[in-house]
Amino acid sequence: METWLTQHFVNSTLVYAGAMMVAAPIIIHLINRFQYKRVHFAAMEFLLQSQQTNQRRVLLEQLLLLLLRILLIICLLLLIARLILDPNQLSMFRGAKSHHVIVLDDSGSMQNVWGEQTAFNEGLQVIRKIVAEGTNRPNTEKLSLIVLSRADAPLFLQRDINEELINELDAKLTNLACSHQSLDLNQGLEAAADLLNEDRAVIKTLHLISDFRKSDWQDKKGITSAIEDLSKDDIAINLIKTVPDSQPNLAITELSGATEVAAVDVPLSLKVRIKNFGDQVAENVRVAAFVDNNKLPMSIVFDKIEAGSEISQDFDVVFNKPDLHQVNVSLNNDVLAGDNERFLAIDVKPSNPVLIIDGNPSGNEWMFIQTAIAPDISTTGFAPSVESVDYLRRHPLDQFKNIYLLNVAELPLDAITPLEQFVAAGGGLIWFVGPSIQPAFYNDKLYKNGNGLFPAPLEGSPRELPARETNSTVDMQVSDHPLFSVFAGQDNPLIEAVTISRYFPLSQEWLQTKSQSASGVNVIATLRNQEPFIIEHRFGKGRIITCLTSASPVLTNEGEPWNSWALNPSYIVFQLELQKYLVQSRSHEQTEIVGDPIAFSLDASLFSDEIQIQTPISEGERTIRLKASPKQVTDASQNGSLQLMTTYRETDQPGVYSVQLERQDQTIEQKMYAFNFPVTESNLELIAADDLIKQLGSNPQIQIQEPGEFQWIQGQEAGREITNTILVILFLLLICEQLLAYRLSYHPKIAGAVA
Amino acid sequence: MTQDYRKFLLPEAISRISRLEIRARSIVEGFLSGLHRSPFFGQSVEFAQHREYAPGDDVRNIDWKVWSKTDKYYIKQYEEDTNLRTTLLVDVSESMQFGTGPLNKYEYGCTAAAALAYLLLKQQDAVGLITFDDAVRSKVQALSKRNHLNALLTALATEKPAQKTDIFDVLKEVAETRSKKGTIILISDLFVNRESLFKGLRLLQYRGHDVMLLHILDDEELDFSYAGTTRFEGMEETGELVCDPRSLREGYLNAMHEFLNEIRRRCAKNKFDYQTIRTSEYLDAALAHYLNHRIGMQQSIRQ
Repeated sequence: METWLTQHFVNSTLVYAGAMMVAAPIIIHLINRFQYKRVHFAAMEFLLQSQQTNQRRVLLEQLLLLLLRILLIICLLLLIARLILDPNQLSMFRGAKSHHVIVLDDSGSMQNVWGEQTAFNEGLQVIRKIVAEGTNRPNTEKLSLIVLSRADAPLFLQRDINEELINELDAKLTNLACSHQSLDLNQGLEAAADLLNEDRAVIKTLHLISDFRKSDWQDKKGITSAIEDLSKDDIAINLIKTVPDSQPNLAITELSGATEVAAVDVPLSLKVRIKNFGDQVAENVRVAAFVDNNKLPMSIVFDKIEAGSEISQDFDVVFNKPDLHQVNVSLNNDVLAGDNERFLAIDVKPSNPVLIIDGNPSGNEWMFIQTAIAPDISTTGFAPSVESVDYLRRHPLDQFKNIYLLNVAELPLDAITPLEQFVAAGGGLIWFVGPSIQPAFYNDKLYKNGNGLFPAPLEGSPRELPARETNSTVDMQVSDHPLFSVFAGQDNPLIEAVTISRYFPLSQEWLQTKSQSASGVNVIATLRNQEPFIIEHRFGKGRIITCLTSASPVLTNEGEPWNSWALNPSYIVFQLELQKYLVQSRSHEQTEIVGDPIAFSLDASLFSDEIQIQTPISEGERTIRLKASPKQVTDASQNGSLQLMTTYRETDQPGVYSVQLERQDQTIEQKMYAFNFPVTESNLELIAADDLIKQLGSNPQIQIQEPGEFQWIQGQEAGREITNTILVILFLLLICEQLLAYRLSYHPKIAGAVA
Repeated sequence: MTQDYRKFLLPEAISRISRLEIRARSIVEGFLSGLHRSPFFGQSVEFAQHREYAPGDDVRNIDWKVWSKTDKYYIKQYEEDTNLRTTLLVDVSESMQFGTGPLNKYEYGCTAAAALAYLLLKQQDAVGLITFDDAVRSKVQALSKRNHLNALLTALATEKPAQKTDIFDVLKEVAETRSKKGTIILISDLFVNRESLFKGLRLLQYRGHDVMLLHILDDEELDFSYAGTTRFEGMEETGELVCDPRSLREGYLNAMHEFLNEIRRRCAKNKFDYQTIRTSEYLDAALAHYLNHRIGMQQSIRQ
């Protein structure tokens, strides 16, 4: 009953007093009945006669009058107590014990500027107003505030709303900044649901303050079901919009390049991609580029970006010094500042060492590779070193970007493990077969039933590819793979000229069992006879490319060259692309999104536990010192060594975070991590209210509040229609009551009396 | 005792009666032996007319001179110069005690009776008085002496009304005791059985009396302007009722009008002179009405 009253009356406490007032007309009637004056009357005969004839009418009239007066009181009561037929219109502050859980979306898109303030600040304003209204009803309201980026640690937990809270809230909200992250509303809803379910307040209200972007809400079953579950638990849900409408927005969605192969004085091609999230064409969009915060004397101009489309441009950056560099590009300011800038950290090396192992020391296959990737060190930045197979077992390999294995007959058994570790850690491995290789060894020690460095078992001997009869076909048929992007398109003259005469076929048995599809092996180029030619597969973090012919036009016993590819210009292009492609698996700098933690796992034998992190300039370049804690790692790959582990989580600000690791020998190792604004936050298209209602169903428990309107906080709007109706009823009742009362009462005629 | 009867001769009323006397005198001009001419024929010095003798007539009235001339018997008729014999019949029952103005009905009735008596006595008319409730309470013989007024007033004042009215027996008694024809003025609220009332009045009429009704009613009885819950306690054991008087007013007034109309109708039918008088009206209303009535009577009754 109490719940019902509090749900249907703004001033529910008045209802009880009012209910007693309903008895007032009856009591007055009874009092009048018993408090009478006495009159000795002579003409009783006529009075009794009148009473006899009018008894029923008088009774009915009096009952009717009494009823009208009771109804009048009831109407007045309903007006004063403010009846509300639809409980969901009711102000959330109803005088009963209630718990308000506010979930504040502080994802990156909330930095969206509308008018003069951001959506986030609008949200803060709503919170302040809710709390201010709550203080009007002391000792009844509780507040919990969950900020989405820290959903697991509510800012306020079941605090009574009072002056003290207001002061504390004010201080906290003033310092509260909107995050740049892409956040999951579900986490906030789950945290709110936990809070609300354990609470026993009479009235529970969830206020979800967000910008309600289409991408956050459309077809998000999780959120819909979470809200439905909450509403089923009799929790009123207020969806409070902070932005009235969608806004156009331009965002830099990508800044990338083969940064792993960046070398001093070698132009590094970087790609900047811009997406127009608006519904109008953006013209003459200029992007400024910065290297180490110095603006480059050029700007990238996008003449026209169609609505909803995404286009990219490449630009070259040359680094003069081998060091850690940061590159950032920026757009002119628009409504969402976070995505107008994108960062990239690049470790520029003097050169990028590549190891070439030639299985035939007397051969010259290495020469073709070396010539292809490093005709001159200053042009490509690669520094190939040619070694024998024994090098693999004697020297550390992690200094190399990629390793070529050319026509290697077989590997020393103790060289396989270092090689596997190298690839597993993200290194690139390229196999070129040749006449010397031992298929049995490859199948046994390197293929390892799909768990090794070689992608597939080989047949026992190389095979001839019959010569072409016509020019209509090509020997080398490439797939739609990034490696061959330069060969894309039909009738590519470079590929056409390539002749393959001998190759190592893969085991027919293996091909027939189709086990290649299961083992993640990807044939990226085939021969004319549809046999696999170039194969890609992954091993740990690294990639392995296997080419089933020789790296050079090595001659067969018959004096025929295995292929003519090494003599073709496409060979050089392929090798350079291969370098860039393989190193991509190592680069982490391009993929960091704000909010992602930086996890450190350092070898205790090499590093001290001191870690120094310098935050981006926009964050104030604060220096943070972390202490890593030692932990025994039982992982097989680490050989049970002691690792120093810690995690840095304060990566909310987009920009480049510099990390200094102190080695045991007192030298410093520097790293840079670029954190960027999540692309998913850039689309500011809002979900239409109708769609939202359709998605959530027309549940009366769920209310959608428009931005800039705060009446619902005071419940001013609530019950206005019924108030008007009651006023009309009250007016009619008053007229009826007056008419009836006039009719039942005595009114002497003005002049003269009744004769 | 003196105080008691004097209360019916309020200075205001007396002065008004004096003015009435002037007015009466102007109406009945040149009437010496009394202000009123007797409507009846009787012993007198003033000859009125001749009438042919009929058996049963007093032979002393035969005009022998006419017989000597015409050989027919005629009798002489004279104006009766005797004073008007008026009997005031005053209801002093309990219901007459009701009143909301300065005077209740009893007081008003007595005052009116006193005023009439004074007026009549001043003109040497004989005035008698009978008070009654359920029976005759007091009787005063009709005399025309000026000091007779004291006796009349004493009889009015000494009454302690408490009984229920039963009118027929009273009127019957009056008819039996008042053998001489005269005027009977009934002053009452007439809250009695109507059949008994008119039966009694007709009896008086048969006996040759001129009957006049002064129906005294209080304003509240006529207007019934009570408000608020009221417990009406009936006088003369007529029951009681707690009610909101406003809700019963209409019905009451209807019943009252019905009652008055019935009285009026029956009075007209029986040629009783009837007048309703409110206790709030000036006392001279009764007297004015009486005089008007007397003027009318001069033409109507004589035969």
